[in-house]
Amino acid sequence: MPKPEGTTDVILDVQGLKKYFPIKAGFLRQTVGNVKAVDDISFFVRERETLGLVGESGCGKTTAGRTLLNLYEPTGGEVWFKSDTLSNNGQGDWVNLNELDKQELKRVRQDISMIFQDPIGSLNPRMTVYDILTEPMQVHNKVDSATEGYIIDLLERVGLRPEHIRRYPHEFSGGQRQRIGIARSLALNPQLIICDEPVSALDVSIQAQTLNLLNELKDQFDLAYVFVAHDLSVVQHISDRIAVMYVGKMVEMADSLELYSNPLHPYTEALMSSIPLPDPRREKERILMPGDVADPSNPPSGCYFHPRCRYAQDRCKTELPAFREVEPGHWTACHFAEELDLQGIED
Amino acid sequence: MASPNSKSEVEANKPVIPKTKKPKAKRERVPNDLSKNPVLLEVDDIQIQFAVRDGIVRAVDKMSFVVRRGQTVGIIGESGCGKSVTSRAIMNMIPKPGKIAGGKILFHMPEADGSVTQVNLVELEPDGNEIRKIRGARIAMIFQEPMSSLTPVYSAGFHIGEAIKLHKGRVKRRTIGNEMIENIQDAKGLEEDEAREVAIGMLRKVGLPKPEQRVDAYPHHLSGGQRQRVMIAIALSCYPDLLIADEPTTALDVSIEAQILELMQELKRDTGMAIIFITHNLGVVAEMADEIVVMYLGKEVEKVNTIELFEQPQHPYTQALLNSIPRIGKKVDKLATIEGMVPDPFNLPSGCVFHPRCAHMMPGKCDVVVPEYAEIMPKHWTRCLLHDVSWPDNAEAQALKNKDGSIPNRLPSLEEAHHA
Amino acid sequence: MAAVAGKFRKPKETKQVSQSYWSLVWWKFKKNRLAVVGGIIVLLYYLICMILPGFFAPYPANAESRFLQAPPQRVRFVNAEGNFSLRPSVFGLESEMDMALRKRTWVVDPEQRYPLYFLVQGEPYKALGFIPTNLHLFGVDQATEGATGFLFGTDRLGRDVFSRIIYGGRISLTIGLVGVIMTLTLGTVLGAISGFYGGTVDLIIQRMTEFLTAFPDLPLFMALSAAIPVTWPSTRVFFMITLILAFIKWGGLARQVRGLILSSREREYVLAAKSFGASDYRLLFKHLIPGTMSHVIVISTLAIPGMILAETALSFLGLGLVPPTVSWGVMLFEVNNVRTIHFAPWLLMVVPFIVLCVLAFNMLGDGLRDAMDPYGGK
Repeated sequence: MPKPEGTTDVILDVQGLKKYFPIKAGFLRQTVGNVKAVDDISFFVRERETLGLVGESGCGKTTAGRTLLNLYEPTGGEVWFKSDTLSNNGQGDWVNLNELDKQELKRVRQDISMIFQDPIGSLNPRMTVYDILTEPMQVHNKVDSATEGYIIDLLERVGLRPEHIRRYPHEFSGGQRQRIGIARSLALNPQLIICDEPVSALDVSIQAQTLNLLNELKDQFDLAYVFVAHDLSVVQHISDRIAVMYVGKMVEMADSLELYSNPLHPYTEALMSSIPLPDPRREKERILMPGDVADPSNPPSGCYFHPRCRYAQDRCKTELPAFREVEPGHWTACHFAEELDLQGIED
Repeated sequence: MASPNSKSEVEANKPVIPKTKKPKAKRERVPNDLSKNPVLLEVDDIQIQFAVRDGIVRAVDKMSFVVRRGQTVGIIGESGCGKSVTSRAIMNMIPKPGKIAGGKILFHMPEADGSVTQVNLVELEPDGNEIRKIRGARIAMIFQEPMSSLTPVYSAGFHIGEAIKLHKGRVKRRTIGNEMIENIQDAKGLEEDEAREVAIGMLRKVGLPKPEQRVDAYPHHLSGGQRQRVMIAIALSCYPDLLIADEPTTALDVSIEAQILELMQELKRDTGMAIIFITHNLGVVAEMADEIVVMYLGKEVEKVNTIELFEQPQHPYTQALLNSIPRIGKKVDKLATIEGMVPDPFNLPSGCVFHPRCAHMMPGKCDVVVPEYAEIMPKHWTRCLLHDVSWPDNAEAQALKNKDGSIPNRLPSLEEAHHA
Repeated sequence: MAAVAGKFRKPKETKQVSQSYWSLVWWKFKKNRLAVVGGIIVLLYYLICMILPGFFAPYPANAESRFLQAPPQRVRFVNAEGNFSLRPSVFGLESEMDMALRKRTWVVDPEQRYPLYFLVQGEPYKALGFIPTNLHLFGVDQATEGATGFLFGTDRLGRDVFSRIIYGGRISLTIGLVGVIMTLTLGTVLGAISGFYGGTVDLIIQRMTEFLTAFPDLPLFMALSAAIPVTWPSTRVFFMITLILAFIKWGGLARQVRGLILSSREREYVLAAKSFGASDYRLLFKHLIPGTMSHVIVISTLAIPGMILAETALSFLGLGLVPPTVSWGVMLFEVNNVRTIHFAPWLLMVVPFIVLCVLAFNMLGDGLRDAMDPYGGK
């Protein structure tokens, strides 16, 4: 597929991304099936925009984030990225990350970085903060006499102090460790950062600090984010647009306020009605989804959501709905998107 | 891309869809007046200490609250505030090196004949028969870590309790059904096949697929999320008088969490069970709890019914907490945060332990005087020097109180704090 | 938001010195008395047997004397008059013929008294391999005619057992150490590659290790050591034996390392490094393998006694080192019949030294294992 045309401020355009994990069994380790963790998703991200990627466990959002930057090798699809590093004129050229050779892929990694969920596991416990932060620069041979000053500046921008460079990760609290992780992701001055559940493991008040920090840094460094999370209130706060995933597929994508007030997919509707709201006066009218989340190694036929959908019809059992733009800027994958009158969260 | 159909085709294909209910106006929840219900559990000035290498940590410092029959009390706070330890204290299951250093926990156990027996749970032997009769059968507990080997009482009942304590291996040979059916029989006096039906229904309600098959499965065959749900079902299958839920849904997906919360509400309605619900999720506690206790560093800082807590918080920590969570539909540029970090327990601030992080700190007062826990409004307790009654009674404190201006006697809003 | 400037009180900095992982390990290790004792003993063994054997041993390893199978000369604290004296001394030995057994026996002769001196001049040797000296820690005065100081007696060629234990220790401990280092290197690298890359490489290496561990050790060793030409000098033979032992044992370590790498491979800090373009080499050698080092060190420390015992057993069977090389195993080889044990039981004095060495290594290894996980992950 040719590179995207039209909107000029798009920097990431994902088309039909797939990531299957083979299931091996038997003596000779034959592949007997596939876990379709990410199954043909398409979305895009603009400059200075935060795209939230939400869904429940097993929906593939974390895998999608990691496959995006080729941390896992994709099984199919294209990831078009407007890279500054790989461009000839410094303006940014479109490249397909899935088709780059090793050298180019390594170079483009300066433009896309990642923040991880686990503040303990994402930092090597045997390295000092200084080592952790300079490692990306070492990999790309960018260490010189100005590096120490640069790192100290970076630390201060994320709210830590210069003397922290000599410390080890275990000497910090969870929130501080996340800040170190954030600083590391900024070390090479990227254009896009994939945030993989960065606040899920933090206390409520630290979450707030970290989210504020991420927003500030977005302005300071001119960044775009793909924000993967399962907490819908957090995602809504930080995202400009949100994409909802279910069992490896994308079911809805829209501006965040639009998604919450006017969902077009039954799963989104049910998901939002399930969120416990901190408003004790509101009487909950919950839409319960019966049963368990579908199994990505053996998904239902037709629309994956049909066994739990209260609007399901015969067509839903046999035909996979296409992900299409039903209203301007609002995509969904439901056969009856135009007919259904779904309930959002009202103020 | 879907190709456009002709109008007649569209009409013919139009499916029959159930009408969705769009509420016209916001339905208001009527707060339950539970003040007349008999008391079920009385936690009175409980103190829990941990002896660690550097000294003694006061994990819980004189906490008191009451749970009535049919009431849900929520305990909220962040990590390290002591909420989990409190719940374990009720079951006398505090892990070493912790111990209960003072106070009482009175369980007003309802008997079959209508009378009530008072038992001080603190005085019972932690491993004795008496507490095991209560644990599981009358007071059940569900944890965040489902069925880990560190939680000896994930399942219930006197008979199970012994098996678990003596021989962990034997636990694995009991199926989910074994445990639940016995509990249900004990609680409801049903025959085995009837109890089995009830058990299957309960498993279905917690969202376990194919419950007819799962009832005969062993817990270790299930995935983590499923085990959590089974643990909840087992705990609820003994129809306890009191359920202690320690972050039961934190690890679950929102849709499953919704199912579990509905189930707990339903059971509460059916059986009149009381719940102590410990969580850090303000949305969950808003929905589930009738009354809320807010904890910070081992102390209660506020206690009042749910609606009043959310609408009229009187402690700056509660206010800050409520303002720091992102709310759906209300997008703000910057979330209000609580500055600083939870202090080191061996290096506590002087005066009010929250003062270094408080938006309304009054210098010369808050860093000197320790506020007392007081009832500042009817049935609304807090400890904050912004309120007159929270000042200690001695002469020095009273002199300090009126120095440099009087006490506002209410919690100012955060905007007002900016201009202080 | 601050109503008052400077209201936020920074918590007192209690720890000024930053604690790296290894300093935390050392801290925790120090608290384990048993482990520290084990460590000290191990260090003493290496000091005495490997670094300065000549100094500590009063006699050379192969110095034959006329005192064949002489019993230990007990250390006594008496002077010439028979009164208590601080200076230790031993009594001389006279040979006698036991007609009934038709054996020469040795009897203590109280007339002959040889005082033991410290830092005494004795047989010349080369300290540390190149410094010629003849200083020994203790010994009898060489000038005295016929003075002997066989603390643990002699063997059938009149060689001092005590000195042979020390020199034997040198060989045994070196084999242990060098063998484990070889195993460590081979096992870690292959195990890491196996765990990191997976696929066919993993399959091949796995099958190799399985084959090696399944193959019966003894016949394999016999076959390999039989292949060593008899004409080789003892040092080369010694090196070959070490190599063979290491070759047989690397499989176990490789499997352990593979397991460790498999579990660490998906850790987020490894993924983070990948995400900014770290090469496989960097991932393996800067992140993954150092992460396994704590386990590897523990495993290796506990493997050294295994190596030592393996060499001992094999030489005892006559399959490993042979005289004139002296190792603990070779010393046991010379005691391998009941008759010898009956008439010269002091030849078994090597056994407690072996046992103590193995125990000390085990205590050290256990202590290291406990200390190596100071966080518990947190």
